[in-house]
Order: sequence, then C-alpha cells, then structure tokens
Amino acid sequence: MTLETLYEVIARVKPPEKPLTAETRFVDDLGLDSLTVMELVAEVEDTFDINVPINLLPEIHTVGELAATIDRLRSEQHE
Amino acid sequence: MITPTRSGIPRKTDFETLTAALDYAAGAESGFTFYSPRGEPLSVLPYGEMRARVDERAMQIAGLGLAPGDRVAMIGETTPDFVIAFLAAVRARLVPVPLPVAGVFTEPSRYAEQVGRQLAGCGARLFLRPDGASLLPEGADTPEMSWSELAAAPKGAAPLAEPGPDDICYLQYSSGSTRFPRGVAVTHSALVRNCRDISEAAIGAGPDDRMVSWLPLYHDMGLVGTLLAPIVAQASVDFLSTDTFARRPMVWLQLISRNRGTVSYAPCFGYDLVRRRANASQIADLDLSSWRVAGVGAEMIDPQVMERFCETFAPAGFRSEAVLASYGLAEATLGVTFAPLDRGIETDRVDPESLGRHRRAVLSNAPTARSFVRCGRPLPSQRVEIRGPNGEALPPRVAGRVVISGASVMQGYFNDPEATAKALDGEGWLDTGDVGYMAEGDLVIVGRAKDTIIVNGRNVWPQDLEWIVEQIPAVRNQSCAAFGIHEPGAGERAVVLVQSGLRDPGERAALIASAHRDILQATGLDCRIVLVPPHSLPRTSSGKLNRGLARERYLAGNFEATEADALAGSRQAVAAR
Repeated sequence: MTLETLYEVIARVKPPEKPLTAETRFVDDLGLDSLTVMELVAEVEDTFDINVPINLLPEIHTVGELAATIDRLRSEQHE
Repeated sequence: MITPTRSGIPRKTDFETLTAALDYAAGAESGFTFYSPRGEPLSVLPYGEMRARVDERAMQIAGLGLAPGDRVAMIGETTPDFVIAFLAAVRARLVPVPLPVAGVFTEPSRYAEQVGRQLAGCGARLFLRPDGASLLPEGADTPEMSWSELAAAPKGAAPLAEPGPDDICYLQYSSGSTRFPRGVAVTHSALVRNCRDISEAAIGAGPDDRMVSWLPLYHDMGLVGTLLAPIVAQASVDFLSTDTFARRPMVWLQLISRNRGTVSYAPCFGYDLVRRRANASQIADLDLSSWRVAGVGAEMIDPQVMERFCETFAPAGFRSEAVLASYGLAEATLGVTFAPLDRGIETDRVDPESLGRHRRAVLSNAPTARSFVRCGRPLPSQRVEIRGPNGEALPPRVAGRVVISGASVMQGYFNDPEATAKALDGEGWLDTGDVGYMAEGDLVIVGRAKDTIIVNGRNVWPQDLEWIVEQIPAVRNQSCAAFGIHEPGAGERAVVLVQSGLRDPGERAALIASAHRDILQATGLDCRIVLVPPHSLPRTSSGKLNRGLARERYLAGNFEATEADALAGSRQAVAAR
C-alpha cells in the first residue's frame, strides 16, 4: 500500500525510465541529485502526513527502505 | 509569537565591536524568530534575552579553562543554540569557527572526516555540536560538547574582559577546499564596519525593515548578512533552516508575505529554485509588495534567471526594481559593491569576441552579445581596482583582475602565511581571483579566475571532485581536471575531465558511470564526466594541473566526447553495474 503510493509520488517528482520496484536505488538508478531528493522528501511528508528527520536520509538508499521508514514514522507520529 | 519589526529604540550602527553592538541591541524589542519546516514559529530570541543568555553562556565557556584567542569550532546550524554559542565565544574573547551542517547526502563517516580536518585546520580547543551522537572522526582529540552539555556547565569567573576592535572576532571557512581549508580571520572592526556599510549605504535600512533568511549561517552571506548585520542595526530577522528551504522553497516567500518582510538575500539559484517549485494557487496567495530589497549575489548572477523570477511573482506584487545585485567575498568580510536601490537588474551587453581576445568590454546589440550584471559601486569603506597581468591599473571597460582594499578586507588567513602572501600584496590590496571591469563606476564581474565551482549556490572545490574520481582503481592520481561551466538559463554545471587509455566502449561507459555515481553519492551533484586521452590535460611548467586552460580547451571543443561516450554520458544516471 505504502509502496504503491510511493511509486506515484516518485513518478511525480521524477518520471522513472524503468518501472519502479522496492529495490530501485534513488541515486544509482533514478539519478536524483540532492535538490530533487529534498523535493521528494517534501512530497512524501505531505502525502503521508509525517515529518521526515533530515538525519535519516543518508541511511535510505532504496525505494523499499524509504517505504519502511514511512511506515515506521507514521506509526510513531500518529499514535 | 514573533519578534516585532520595530525596535523601539533609536537606530544606531556605529560600534567598535560586535559585543558593543549586542549590548546596545539588548535594549530593543526586536530580535530573531526561528521557524519550523512548515513555516510555523518555533522559538523567539529578542535581543534582550539574547544578551542575557550570551552573558551566562560566556561565563560557562570561560569556566572551561580556555585562553583568549583559542578557537571554538561549532556546527553553524540555524538555531538559537548556535547563535548563543557563537556570540558567547566572542564575548569570552575566544574565536568561534562556524562549521558546515552535514549535507543531506553526506555519509556520517565522511562528514566526521570533514569535521576532523576543519578542527585540525583551525587548531580548535573545543568543538560544540547539536545534541545527539558525536560528530568527531575516530582518533580526534578535540574536546567535544553538545549545546545542552555546555548549557549545564558550571560558570567560570566573572567579570570578563571585553574584546577590542583589533581582536579576531571569528574565523570564516567558506574560502578554500574542504580538503585544504583556509580560514579568513575577521576582526571586530572589519566586521562592524562592513555591517554598518551594508545596512546604511547599501540597503538604507529603516525602522520598518524586517529580514527573512534561509541562508546557511556557516557561510559569510548568511552569517554576516543575515545574523550579524541585523544585530548591528537592531533589526528583526525571521530564520528558516536551509534544509527547510530546499524541501519547501515556497515557505520563504510565504514568510515574507505573512510578516511583511522587506529585505531578503539569496544566491541566484535560490530565486531559480523557488520559481521552479511554485504553483499558481500558491502564487495567488502571496503578497510580496512589502519586499523592497531582494538581494542577489554570492555567485555569477544570471540575468535570465532573475527575469523569470520577476515575471513569475509579478502577479503576487513583486516589484522587479527590488532586485539588488551585489558582489562580495569572505576575504572582504562580506559585501564589496552594491547596485543602487530600486533599479532592479541592470546589464551590460558586450561583444564576446572583443572581451575574449582583447579584454575590452565593447557595448553591442548583436544577438551574439553577452549580458553581464552590473554589481554597483564599492561600499564607503571598500576600494576596488581592476589590474592587468603586470599589476598595472586598467582603464574603464578593460577587463582584468579585481583587487580590493579597505577597512573590511582581511589582514590574512588564519595560521597560513603562505596563502596570505599569495592573496594580499604589501599595500593591503587583496586579489579576489575574480575577473571584471569597471563601467561608469559600476563593477561588472565577467568570470572567476579561481577554480571554485558554484553549483546550486554551493561552493564545490575541483580538488574534491577530482579526488573522488581518482579513488576509482582504473583512474590514476593527478589525471582528472574539474571545473564549472556556465549553462545560460540553467546555472553552473560541474565537468570532470578524466584521462583514460581504455578503448573498449563498454569499459569506457562503465568508468563514466562509476565516476558520475561516486560524485553524486558523495556530493549530490550531477556532474558531466568526459574521458580524455592520456597526457592530454594541460599542466604548468612545474607539472601542476592547469584547470583554467583545461576548461578553455573544453569550451573550445578540444575534448569532444566520442559518440559512444556521449551516449554513456547521457545515461550516466542509469548505472552500468
């Protein structure tokens, strides 16, 4: 569910050349530069109604990892 | 709750030291307000409370047993903690050294290494950082404290001796590579003079001025322009973090609109980013009619970018005359020249042929003419000259090296006599490394002779990019050349030329892809990688890489990519792993 919505968010920010999967890498596969990453973060925050702490970002490399982080932040921030 | 715009006391800007300026501001009602990533006020720091907290923190720092002049490095984040710690170190006659906040992309270990190099470079005796995990690299022995630990420390002996005008106020490390840092030593007198010039002569600050800023406070434009100059003029400032701006650039304009902001600066890229991200309904909700100084500087100003910004936000009441071009650098504290108020961007259209070949800026209306932004006249305490290759002063409309002198120009880099001797001549003239000409009293910058690349408002040092690529096993040391190229309307792009003897198109494509990926991962920059034949990069007689010449040859088409390489280059993002 989160993953499906996340695919749509990513496609809005930067249309991918290949279909997105949980293994798609933001930098290596999608070629996102740092500004586009920040735009994506803002879209994710608005779509999922969460705050994404900036210091989590260096640890997130794949779409699947971001989806898992979103789920964790949602349960923490919407208790 | 936010701080009021009016200070409630007579405005005064002639102080001898930053501490004297803070003491005076303490009587004002104005001060700083810090905002959340969604633009809600998080905390206020009126000048009176600021001074009380600074005095207390200064005694706590004094209790740590440091000697006057000792360097205190600290992470320059946009928070009251940093502001208090910075000013407290100054009050305790120590020398604060603001360090960059971690980049979004930076791996923690790489960031720790960078912090370690900076601490070593300035010989820091104390390192202050946000609460949370240590930021030191392994083996570093600088004592480290978090903001909270310092706030809980016992107070040392009072009263404290006051710093004097000739004392070093702080070190500014925005000049020089992260691998070879160079710190500008800024004295109290240089600082307060530049702050006063900026407030009085450049922007004509008045009682109804209110500043809004997202600029990083570890850079000169953010630190001097939006933190220290407002203290010296008792003005209120609304602060957003730089991360907030990168995530939600429109929050910047929404704050100006909501708080009736009048003064806000940004590099050209900031104006471009907010324009690209703005949508029609957001623009319809804005009222930017109060914005009287939209300062732009810190990198080459692209007139097209500013024009598009003005067009996009005209329906929100933005006046294009508000755009104020300026020129400055850390070695001059911050500001050197400012365009006149209320004129907007004024350009000089010149013939590129005469400029390139004969260094003469001949006005031209031909379609091939290049537009350069007029950056205005020197501030009262700054002098600007254009000099030729042999140090001779050049007449108007002849381009040469921009040199400056005056009360706000540095006396040297901290602990680096060699770099200081290169930058300053015996009479105190500083070679800025930039190339420009004078026209009717205005300074026009045409290029930077320094190797610095400025992408998205960030200084990137070519040595750093070259070093990253040279870590790839197939690439030898000293076989890369990085530089910036200007793409009209799109800003600056970093190019890395990589010497390689590989012949197989697949291997070449793989090398291009790895170099591109490694730079993207380390710095977040989308660079152009071009493979060039072995021994083809130009070098000086002493064997040193000549980046300027490499760049010229690249622009002249001497390093055309093969068709297969160009294809690999355009697909760099899709890694060939």
